Amino acid sequence: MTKGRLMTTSTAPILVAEAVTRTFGGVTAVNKVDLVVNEGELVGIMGPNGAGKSTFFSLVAGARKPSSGKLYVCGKDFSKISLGDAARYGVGLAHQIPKPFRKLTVRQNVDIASYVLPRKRRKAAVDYALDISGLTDRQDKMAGDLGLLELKRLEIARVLALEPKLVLLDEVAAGLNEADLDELVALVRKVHATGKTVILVEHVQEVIHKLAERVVVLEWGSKLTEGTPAEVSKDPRVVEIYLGSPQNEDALKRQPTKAGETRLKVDGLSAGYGPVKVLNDVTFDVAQGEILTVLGANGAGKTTLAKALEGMVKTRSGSVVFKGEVVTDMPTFARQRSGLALVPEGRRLFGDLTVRENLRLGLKSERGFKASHKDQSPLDTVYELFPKLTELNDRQAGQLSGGEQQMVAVGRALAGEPDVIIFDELSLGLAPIVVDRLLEAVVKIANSGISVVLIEQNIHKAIAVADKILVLKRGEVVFSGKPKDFSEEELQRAYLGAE
Amino acid sequence: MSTRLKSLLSYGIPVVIAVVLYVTAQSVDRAMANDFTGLFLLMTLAMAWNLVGGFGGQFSLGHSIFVGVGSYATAVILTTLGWPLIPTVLAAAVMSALIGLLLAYPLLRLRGPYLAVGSLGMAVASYGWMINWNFTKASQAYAIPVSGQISLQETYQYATILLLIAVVSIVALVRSPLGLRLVALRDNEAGAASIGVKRVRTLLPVWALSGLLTGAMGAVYALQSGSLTVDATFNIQFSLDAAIVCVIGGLGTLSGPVIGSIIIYYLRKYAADFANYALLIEAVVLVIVVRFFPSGLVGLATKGYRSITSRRTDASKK
Repeated sequence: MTKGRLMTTSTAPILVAEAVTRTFGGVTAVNKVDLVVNEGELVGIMGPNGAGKSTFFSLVAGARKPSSGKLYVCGKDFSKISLGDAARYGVGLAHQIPKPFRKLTVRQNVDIASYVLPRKRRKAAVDYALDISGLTDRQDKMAGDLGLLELKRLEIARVLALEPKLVLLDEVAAGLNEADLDELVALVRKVHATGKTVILVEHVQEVIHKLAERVVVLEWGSKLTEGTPAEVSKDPRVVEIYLGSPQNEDALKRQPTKAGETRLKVDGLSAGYGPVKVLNDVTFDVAQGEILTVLGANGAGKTTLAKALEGMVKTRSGSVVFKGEVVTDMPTFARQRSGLALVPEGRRLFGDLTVRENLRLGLKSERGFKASHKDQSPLDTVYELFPKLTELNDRQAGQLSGGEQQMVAVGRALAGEPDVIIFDELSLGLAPIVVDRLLEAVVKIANSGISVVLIEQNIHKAIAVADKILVLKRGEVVFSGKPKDFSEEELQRAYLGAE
Repeated sequence: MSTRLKSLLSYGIPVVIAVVLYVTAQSVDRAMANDFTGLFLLMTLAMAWNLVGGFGGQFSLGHSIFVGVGSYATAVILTTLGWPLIPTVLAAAVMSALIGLLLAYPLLRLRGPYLAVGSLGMAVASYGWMINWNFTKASQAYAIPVSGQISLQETYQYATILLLIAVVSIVALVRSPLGLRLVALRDNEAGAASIGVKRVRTLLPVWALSGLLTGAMGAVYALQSGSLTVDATFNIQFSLDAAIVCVIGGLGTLSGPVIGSIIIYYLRKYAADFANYALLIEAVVLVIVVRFFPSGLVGLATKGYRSITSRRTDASKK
């Protein structure tokens, strides 16, 4: 049998997938994928959201079992694997969203991984993992106190302490800025150079191009093509599914806005957590139908700004004026009710509820849901904007792809008939074509007269749709003005810290 | 402080305290001995529960079963087999540990509130069984044969030894690889699984130890009580008390249950003077702690300590 052959030969491929399929209910997430990865390779998997990358990865990581097909990883049959075994067989998975054990120290976090090894090898493995990932001097810090890049390093350190043969990296670049990205790419190179086989799933094209020797493209659960990064990026089918057709660009163009009334006015806003002051003296305003794009490196205070506007973080000083009324001390729910909506980072949907139920929860009152009501329901606006949601109405929100979930999150905010919507990291972890669609929706929302605060990592696209730009750096405003006055140098100064 | 000295102290201090209490036990008056026995039993119960409920994050409402099994096993062995006391208590504790494994195996399929309800269901079911089981005299009182010959001071000594065993074994477990895995599972199950932590294999021994200690606590409780009823032993109140103590002291900390049980025990003792208001007073204290110090008194103290030390290092940097 295949198994026997794999175990006896030393030059055997480390991963063999033959017609691997995984279904959830009626949905086929991974459809007859064939893939062979040899030892020492560095393979990238790409594809738009909902292409089945994450599901395929979870099969290789032994977190789920394939519904049919053969899957051998490190010589073991993964169609019969139970949870927690994959790590013992030599497969290490670094998660997209770092999941540290927050109440343990960095070293303890890595220690736990080393317990799959014989007792004697543990200490050396942990020291080595901490050293490679550059965490040796942080090893006694609480994992919960780490920043994003350090958390990603910790994810990798934990994986390395398993002494794995195969390292799986799931969207490790998500949420990182340029400088951090380079460091992470260097770290992955270092890991690969130590002789480990690496498979990475990645949206950030740049990372795939810099790292991968071979790229596999998935779409709708099936393998579309594979080849070198250069070959794949020339393939017209890949360009089509991944980058979208060029005419989409027009939809992102903004109609010039008439100067409406000022909806949201923020004056000298400061906020923070405990001893840390994250926002310092931030001032801006947004008028009716305007899009304000907020940019800034990680840790610049963008999400804190969103939370402070929504009342989830206490304001230290300064004021927030919404529709002429001071709301600085108003609780979150009251701000939401009066029309200040937030589409939070990470979407925060109710995963067990259906799409319809999620949208319904966004409504101001149940009246809007009843069909007999004469006026147009706010939900009709949502379905008009995202026709796809009508098909998905009865699916559980937690089972949707990232892009679909983001549509539901936007729809939920719209259902409350807001005057201002704050989008926090709208495009995080989504494929370019999905981002385009969402930004089109944002433009339509703004054109309908709703004011938009758009917090984004996807710099160039966010600038394209902006009426105004606000750039934060370490909690302070370093640029505020029109897109035409905003130069590449300004951008670099904000992100890279060049003076 | 070196880690070696630290670990020596964390075992050494409890041992020294226990030895002092044990030696001086005979000179303590009866009322005080009885008081301390009650306090130490509550501490043992809370610490054992904290393993599962605090460090493991599994809010068990089934720990009354262990108290019941431990106490009734003691009564039955002493009456029917006439074993000496120490082997009896050990046997009762082991029996309770086995019951712990037996309960945990199906319960571990459940998580969060479902586990709480599942374990509560088991507690209620075992109460129903015991109240009808003629072998243990059903709803009638079951007298402990030797308890007349054991002085309150001796019971207090047993409670002291039991508490010492509980402290040492729990500190050892929490510091062991198993303890780290336990916390890892609590903080993030999927993350733990991806680095090779197996849920059932990690949790079963923890439930067994928790059951062992709670069962032994039930055995000493039986000696203190002199006679047992199902109502007094298979009572959900034990699980609730353990949980309340841990929440007030600090869930998932080593010293939390110790501090929490001192507060709750003496609060109950002195609030009892206010008759009907006693429950209200306890409830108000609980609400205040949960509202203002959600990580318990230990959490509050660590926070205070951290803010002082961080201020000091800030100052020294300047």
